[in-house]
Parts: sequence; structure tokens; C-alpha cells
Amino acid sequence: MKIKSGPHLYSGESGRRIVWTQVGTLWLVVVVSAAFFGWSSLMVLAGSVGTCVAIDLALSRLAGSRNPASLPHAVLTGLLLGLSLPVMSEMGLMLRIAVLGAIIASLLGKWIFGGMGHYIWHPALVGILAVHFLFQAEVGMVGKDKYLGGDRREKYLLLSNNALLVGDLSRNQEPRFYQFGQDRSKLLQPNDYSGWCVSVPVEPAQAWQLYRPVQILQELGKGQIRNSASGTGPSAVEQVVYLALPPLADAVVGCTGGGLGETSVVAILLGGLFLIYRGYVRWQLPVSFLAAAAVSAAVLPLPVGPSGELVWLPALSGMSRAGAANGFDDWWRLLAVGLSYVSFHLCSGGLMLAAFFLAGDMATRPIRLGGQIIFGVGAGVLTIVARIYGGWAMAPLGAYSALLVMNTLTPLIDWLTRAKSRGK
Amino acid sequence: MVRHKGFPGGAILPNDKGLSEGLEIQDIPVFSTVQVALDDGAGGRAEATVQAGQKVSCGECIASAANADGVNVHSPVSGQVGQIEQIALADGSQKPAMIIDTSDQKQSEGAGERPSWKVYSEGLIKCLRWAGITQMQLGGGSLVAEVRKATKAGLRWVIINGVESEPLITCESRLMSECSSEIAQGCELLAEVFALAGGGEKSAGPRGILALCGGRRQALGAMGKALQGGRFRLAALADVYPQDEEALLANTLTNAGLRAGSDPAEAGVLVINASSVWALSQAWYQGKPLTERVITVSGDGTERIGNYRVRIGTRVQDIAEHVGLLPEASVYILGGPFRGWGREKPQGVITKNITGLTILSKVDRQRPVACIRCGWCSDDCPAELEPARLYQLIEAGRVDKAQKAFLEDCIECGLCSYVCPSHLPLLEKIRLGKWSLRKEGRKA
Repeated sequence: MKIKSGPHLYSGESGRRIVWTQVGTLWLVVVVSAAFFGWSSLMVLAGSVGTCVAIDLALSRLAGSRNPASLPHAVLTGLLLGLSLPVMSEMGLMLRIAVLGAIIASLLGKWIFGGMGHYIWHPALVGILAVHFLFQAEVGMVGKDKYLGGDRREKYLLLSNNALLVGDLSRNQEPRFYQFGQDRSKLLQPNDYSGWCVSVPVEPAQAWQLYRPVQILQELGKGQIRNSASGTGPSAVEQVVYLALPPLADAVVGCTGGGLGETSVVAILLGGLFLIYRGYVRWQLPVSFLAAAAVSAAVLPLPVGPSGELVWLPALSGMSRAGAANGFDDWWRLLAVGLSYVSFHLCSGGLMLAAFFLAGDMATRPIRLGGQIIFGVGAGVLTIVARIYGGWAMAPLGAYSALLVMNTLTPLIDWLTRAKSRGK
Repeated sequence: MVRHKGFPGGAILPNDKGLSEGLEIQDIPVFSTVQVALDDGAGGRAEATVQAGQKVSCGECIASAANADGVNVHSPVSGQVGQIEQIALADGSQKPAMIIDTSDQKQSEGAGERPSWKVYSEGLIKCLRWAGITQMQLGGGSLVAEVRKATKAGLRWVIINGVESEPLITCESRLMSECSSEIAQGCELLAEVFALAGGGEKSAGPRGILALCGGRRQALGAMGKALQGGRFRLAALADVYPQDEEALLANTLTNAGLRAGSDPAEAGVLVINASSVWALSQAWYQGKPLTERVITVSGDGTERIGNYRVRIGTRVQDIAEHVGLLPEASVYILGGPFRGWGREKPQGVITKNITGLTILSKVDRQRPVACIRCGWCSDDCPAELEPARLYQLIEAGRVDKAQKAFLEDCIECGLCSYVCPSHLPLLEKIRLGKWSLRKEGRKA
């Protein structure tokens, strides 16, 4: 007589369902990226997703593994990788980068460890970092001089706000778009840009080239922007917030420069909240990640000026200069500067995407709640540390590199937070 | 103010209790054969006092307690005693059982003389042993042993467990709705025996609580009325599975620092099943030993879902025929769908600790795949274990390491297997590990 142990009911959850849900929550991010960056963003995504799926199908068959969650996970990996890449005027190069990143993500990130559930780093992270280091000139920071004529800043394309979904960056060969060997002075300059919220559409232009906010924040940390000489003038942080960065509303909605899916905080938050609602991500993980990043940005000393003069408590740095003499209004304005500075750190550079989608990947985060909070706090602090103190190549990847480090530490965190003792 | 739950983890399950909650208890007729287990795995043994071929009447003692924790066994029917055979209990362990043939006997209540007991704990133990009362839920141990342990440790709380958090099972809520006065009588008896403090919070002495699930409105109302003026307080708890595990329930109500795996009796908390209190009241006041119990027959494989009063020892086969099977019925579970034991055919018998018969059309078990480290098994584990890690350790043959990770604290509630999105047989593996530990322990 065969006797079966309980339970005889099951919750109906499956890995496949979890991963498909995660893919599904990204649809808004994908739509928003197509709106801001044009159809070519979909081409980039198709390239990376297609490559991941093809490799996954081939290797699943080769390895004889039939995990039904593996295929949707390949889609998710491809999507997350593609969403971290910028769209460029040169489509061929962009596609090549996306495909190579997807190959690295699938092979070195996932299958070398044995596929679904066995990898130790999020495959998309492996792909993202590999691509940024292999193609620093194209998608990274360093070496931009070669193309952009002495300007160390990288510029990302963004559709103008009267050209929603119509500008096809990959096919449009009009001289407004930058091509190799072309006179750059014909392009619309970033100076014309004052944010989507306040700018008047410029008629012939269909796209701007923009700085990524995270890069401007990083320059602040590299001493590129200084405190004004007189004791009462605007501080470096104030200058950055009011003069260099786009309006905060733009950074929240997503119409700034950056990776395809990194910029729109609203879209990412909606997807992330759905994942939390479904119980696939515990709210404590992204919240501890973002909270730790916010606190670090507010308190970590910022080297300003060529001599490396440290500004302590950058969030409050304007206050000491203006003083309380000017009354409440001034205090409030300066506090607003500090808060904006912290908010820009949260809204830029893939931090949101990392906190809700990459950190929430189950296989690479600690399993216990306490461990997840340690994980989130560590990732948040490391992100800001990388941005402020990291080198040129590392800084824009702050969130991704921090997450990769925390992925590596996950077994250790799991061990630290394991069940220890029990009162009998 | 009662807490929501006093243990980590747990889950609010879709329990479908509405299927049988409102249905009155019906009697099931006596079938041609009953198999009365002389040892139902609660730790007590009993030795037969009747010979094969002898005629017995309903309620007659057929086996007397043979060790300290043992209780008497009574014939639930009138009939002719057959051989003592080994039968498989719900969990598959082989135990001796007396086969009683009822085919040519008129059923009549045996007029056994009613002994009387003194109202103190030793008297209570004598009554329990005489009437054959154990904890009437799966996994429940020997009530006699627990009373002894709790009084020795200094009794602080008496908790009547009517929580019944297992999905589909409603036998105890039904019993409390319909027999509330008997149960209240049993409660008062316990209050008398243990000199429980009544009245205000400040009065000294041990206290009594009857706990049930706040969602069972009818039972709550009936017990609330019946307990009025008594010394037992009523506590309506959240419908969190497994709220009805002894240690967890005790901690919810007393906040005594009890955890899964600890023994509430050793902390002076006596947890008694509500059905057992009903049986006690029957025995003490009416001289009726425990020969029948209420079970819930439910699931999508049966025609007539309901709560039935059955004789101990009734075969599952007979019950299934009586309630009618749907053609798709394929799994027969002794107990509820979580902690019960499943069979592919209607086999097994009702013992004192079986709360229900769940007949399902299918078990939706999918092929297990690699763990994706979702951590849900740890989140929901009421014992704060890491079932996925235990699974890997046991699979690798490292039961010793699993033991260090508190394998033995598992209360086998089955939530880990229920939530696992990779469909790993976590509970099976953990049971296997515990079993091999016990085997090693016996060898050493």
C-alpha cells in the first residue's frame, strides 16, 4: 500500500509564473523607453532578448534540462540588459553591443553555473558590466573625447517632446543626428535644452543629445564643479541642482538622458509595486536599498574643488553659506536644494531599475528578511560610494557594480542570518 | 486582547470550510466489520482482555492500558471478536488491531457500570485512562502523559484547542456548535480539577482559555453562550495555519516563549483538544467511554460532504461507500489535506486521532525543478527553519548537519511544500531525514 505524505494541496505558484510576472511588469518600462527614445529602443531590446532566448533554447536542449522557468528568465535577462543600454544614432553598433552583452549574460552569467537557479550573479548584471567595460568608448564614459571633441561628457539621445513615437533614430539619416565624421556644430546643443517640463519644442529637431544626470552628479564628486569663491554665493551642490541638472520632474517621468529603461522612475515604480503586491519582492529590500542610498548621498562627504576640499553633509551644504540671516524662505530653499540633490541620486543611473528588478532576483539575493535588508543597505551605500569616489569608468555603473558585489556576498549574508539557536 | 498569532511564519490558506461548516452532524450506520487499533501511535499500549470468538457489547472494555501512558480500548460496536491483526495506521505504521464482526449482532448500548472519580488531577487521569481518551487530532500525543507533565511542572494554563486551522476540516467547530453545553461542562470540570482562577485578571491561580477560530461564527456564538459565567475564557484567533499546533497555540495565548518543537506541557501549559474535552465530559458525567468521534468528509471527490459521527475503527472503504464517491475520486486522505496521509484506494481505518476524510479528484503536483531560492519556505515556516537547506543537506546525506540546523523542530505542517514554486518535495525529504535520525537514535 502506497501512502503519500502531505500536503495534498499546492499553492499553484511556479517559477515560470514568477518570472513571467516579472517580465510582464516591465512592459510599461518598455513602452516608456520607446516613447522617449524611439522605435530603435525596441530594436535594441529585440536584439538582446532574441539572443538570450536563442542561447537558452539551445543550451536547455544541450544540457537536457527542462526547467520551465528558464525561458521566461532568458526573456527577463535580455530585457534588463537592453533597458540598461542607451540608444544611439548608429543602430548597427547598438545592436552589436546588445547582442554581445546578451551572449555574455547567457553564457558567463547563467549557463556556466548550470542554468536557472544556480547562478551566483544576476546574468543581466554580468552582461551590463561586460558591455560597459568592453565598449567604454561607445556606452561608457571614458574616451568620449574621440567622438565628442574634447567634451568629456557623454551625451545620450532623447526624442523631443513633440516627436513622441515618430522619430526613428535608426533610419533617420537627416543631418540633425550625429554621424561619424559629421560636423557636430550642426547638432542641437544641450544648452538649448531646459527640460521637457519647461522647454518650447524646437521645430526641426526631433531629438536632443543630453547628459545623463548621474554623470553630472559624478562630476560634482570629481571636483569639476566648485563652490563659488565668495562666502555667500551658491554652493557647488546648489549650482548643480539649479544649473546643470534637468528639472527633477523630468528625471521622475523619464525624459532625460540615460539607459532605455533607467530613466523613468514612474514606470519602474509602478512595475515594482506590482511585484511587491504579488509577493515576489519583499518591500523591505528595495526600500532599504533606496533608503541607504538616500542617506549615503545626504551624508557622505563630497570632494569639491581641485584640492579635494571635502563638503560634509552635502544635503545641507548650502545652509552654512547663506546662513539663517535671510530668514525662513532661504532655509527652505536650501533644504529644497539638498533634497533635490538626494532625489537626483535616487532617480538617476539605473538605481531604481536595480532596486526593484535586479535586486529582487530571487536566486541572487539572501533568502531571509534580515539578510535582504543587509543586502539592500550594502547595495545602497556601495552605489553612492562608487558614484562619488569611484573612477570615471565605475561611477555611472554605481548601482550595477554595487549589486554585483552584494550578489557575491549573498552566501555569506545567508550564513550570517541563518537560524542560530532555539529556546527549548 | 488576544494576539493575531504568536509564532513566526504561517499562512492564511483558502480553506473551503464553508463546504461543511453549516452541515449538521449525521450518524453513520455500523458496518459489518470494524478494526479497532489497540495502539494508535500516541505512545500508550493496551493489551487485549477479550478472547477471539467472544461476544462484546458496545462500550465494553476490550483492552486495558498496559503502560503508564496507555489508555483502555472499548468496543465501539456490539459484535463478535475476531483475530488481532496488524493494520496500517494513517501514517503507515503497523499496529495491532482487534477485528470485530458485527454482522449478526443487534446493536445495543452496553450497560457498563459507571465508576466515579475524585475531582483532582489523579482522578482526571484515572478517568482518561478508563475512558480511553487521547488527543483527538493527528500528531497529538498521550493526554495522560501531558496532564502528568503539566501538573508536575506547575500548571499555569489550561487551553482547550478548538482552532482547527487545517483546510476543509470542520468537525470540531461543528461539535462546538452542537454540543456546546457538554464541552462547557467538560471545561468546568477541568476548572474544578485544576482549581482554575475565575473572575478578573488579577486573581491568582492557573487560567483556562477555550480557543477557536474567529471565522467559525456559529461555534463562537454557541460556545460564548455556553461558557458564560464559567471560569473558561473564550479566545477567537486568526485563521492562520498552523495555529492549532499545540506549542504555537500555547504561545499565541500565553506568550510564554514557546516555539515549534518545544513541549507546552513542560512549561505548565496543558493543551487539550476540544473533541477530547467533549469525550471527557461524556465519560465523567454519563459514564460513556470513547467509542465514536466526529469527522469531516470533504473534498471534490465525494458526493455528500458533511460532518459524520463514526465509530472508532470504521473502515475508510465503508465510509466512502456510504457518502458516495464521484467517478473522479482518486486520492483518499486520512485527516485534512495538509497533515493527512493520502492513499490511492479507500483503505485505512478511523482511529481516535483522525479528524476527517478528504477525498480529492487529483493532487496537482508538478515535476520538481531546481530551487530558485525564493525563500518562501523559510518565510512561512512556523519553526523558523530553512526547509530548502534541510532538503539539500538530507539529499546530500548530511542528516547530521541537518540536525544541527534544527531538523527535529519541524512540526510537519507542510507549508513549505505547499508554497514551493519549484514543487520540491520538501516535507517528504524532511520526514525522511527525521525518520533516519530516529533510526540512528535507536541504534545508538
